[in-house]
Amino acid sequence: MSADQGAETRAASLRSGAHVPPEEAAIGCRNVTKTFGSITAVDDVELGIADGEWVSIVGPNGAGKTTLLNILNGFYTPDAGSDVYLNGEEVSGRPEHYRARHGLGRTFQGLELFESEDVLENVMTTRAVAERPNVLSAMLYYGTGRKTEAENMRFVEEILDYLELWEYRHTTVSTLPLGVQRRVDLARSLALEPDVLLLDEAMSGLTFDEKYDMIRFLTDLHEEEGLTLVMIEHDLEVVTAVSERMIVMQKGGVIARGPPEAVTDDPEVARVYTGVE
Amino acid sequence: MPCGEYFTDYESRMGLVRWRTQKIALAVGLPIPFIAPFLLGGGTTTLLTQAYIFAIAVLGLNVILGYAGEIVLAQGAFMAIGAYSTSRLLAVGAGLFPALAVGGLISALVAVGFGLPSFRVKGFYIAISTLALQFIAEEWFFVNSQLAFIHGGTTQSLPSNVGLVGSVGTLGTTVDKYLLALVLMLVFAMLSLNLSRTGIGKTFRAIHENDLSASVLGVNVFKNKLLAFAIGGFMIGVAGGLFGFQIGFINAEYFTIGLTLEHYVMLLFGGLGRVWGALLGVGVVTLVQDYLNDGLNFLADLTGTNATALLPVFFGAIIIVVLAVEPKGVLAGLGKIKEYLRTWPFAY
Repeated sequence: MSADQGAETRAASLRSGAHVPPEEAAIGCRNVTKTFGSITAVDDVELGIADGEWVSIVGPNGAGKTTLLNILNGFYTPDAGSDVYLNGEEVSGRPEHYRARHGLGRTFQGLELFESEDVLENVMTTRAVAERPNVLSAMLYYGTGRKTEAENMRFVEEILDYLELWEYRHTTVSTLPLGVQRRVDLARSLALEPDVLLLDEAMSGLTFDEKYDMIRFLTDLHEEEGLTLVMIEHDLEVVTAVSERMIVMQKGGVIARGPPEAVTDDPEVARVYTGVE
Repeated sequence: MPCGEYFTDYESRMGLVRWRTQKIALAVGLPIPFIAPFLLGGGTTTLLTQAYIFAIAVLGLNVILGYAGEIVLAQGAFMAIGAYSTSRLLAVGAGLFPALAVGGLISALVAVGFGLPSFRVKGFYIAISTLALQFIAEEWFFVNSQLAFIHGGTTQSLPSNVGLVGSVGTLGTTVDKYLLALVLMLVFAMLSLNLSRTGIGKTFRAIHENDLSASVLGVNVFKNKLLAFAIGGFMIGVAGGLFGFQIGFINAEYFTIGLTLEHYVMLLFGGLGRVWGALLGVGVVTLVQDYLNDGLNFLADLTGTNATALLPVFFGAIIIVVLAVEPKGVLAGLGKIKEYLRTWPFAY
């Protein structure tokens, strides 16, 4: 095989990409397309992310990364014929709250916190979704109503300790610095005890130290808890340092996928990022 | 917070009465309203009874508007449904508790029905949907004599002596009605406080704060909105039934949009989403309104004009002042003052 043929084979492998079949993946999709009027935001994407894997999705602005994430978590309904799988279950017709209750957590690029509440209330609110008493026992605050709340509080305090948010627990979130707010967003999604966590630019706007902290927390969660992470991120240095696999999107489609070092060496990826042929 | 008090388990920390001062205040303060009717005159007792009944209705509004953030403008209609249903059941001797419960349930069902559009729309559109209900009730349904086979007649007299269940435990005096309204108000206030501190109330508030975020975090927004409508509608319906029983007579013109606005003033004055705020708002607005009414009556006699017609100006003024000075209500303002005093002189 000549050097040129080898490069072509490698490039072809990056385009099609070795990945887990969506049906067997922790989170996956097949034939996913999303059009807004005449604009195709996501174009026939197939994805399979294995249980316990850390995958980063990168690409220029408008590549369709957030749209894909919104389809995976059910916030957007994709075009007909698109299939989405969560822990082996086909969830295409399921709403976002169903997917959240079945192991899919998510953070937001724009945060979307409950701004007038404090940190503890923000995380307790999400925990209440995971473990909630029935209306009668809640209103009587008796039996499971009382017990569930105490257990939820204990669980939430552990998350706040873990993410070093203890000192902010009674601070209204809208008054906190961005780095802390991003941690609150992460804490909130962890309160649901997800199997898969979708992170939409969780390090956007953070200082070097804040990014370092966020990577430390995510690495711990990935390695110690076995959490599957799917991260949209622009910082290639971070992506290549932490991800096991990388997916590059351009104009709604996947143009490369594979180990970060192989993907970043791909001339097509370099062209997309630098604009240099 | 007092020094030297601490909690060793989460259940104690989440209690409603946690600190020693709170326990003393409760032990001293709770018996007062139970003794009050034996010390006060009939007029004041009746006024307080009405305040307790309105407190139940405003607590119901607080669940829908204060917790779940849905603007409902059919407070009068829900109360009317509760009042007319209760009246019909009392007429057949069902007893007060079954009548109130059924009145509350019918009101809850209607509230859920008018909450159904929240599957597609929110905010302004829900307000309009419920405003339509208010006008249907006020201008057509309860004044339509051809529909008397359903509501029993636009004006109805309620029996003055009724049993709590069937003919058991007869109530009829002003003091009986006062104590019944007080107990029910305390029960509903307790249920509201519990709702607020448990997962149900938290999911309501999540919807209020950011429904997009709430749904992505696992909240079934539509189902929970309907639940809020059902709980709030039930409480408002029960208040309507009690209101009819208290005054012994119901007429469609009691349950107008004016009543809805009056309850909004009470809730906004005390503070949206706060049980103590709702109670404070009802108490202050009812008492001030009563004194103001006396003053306007005096002015009317003096000048020979209809000065009492100026009363709605009072509600408008309250709304403007509260929203301009402390949009979160008087209770939030008092909280700020308390915090300032607690940290003075080192507030920074």
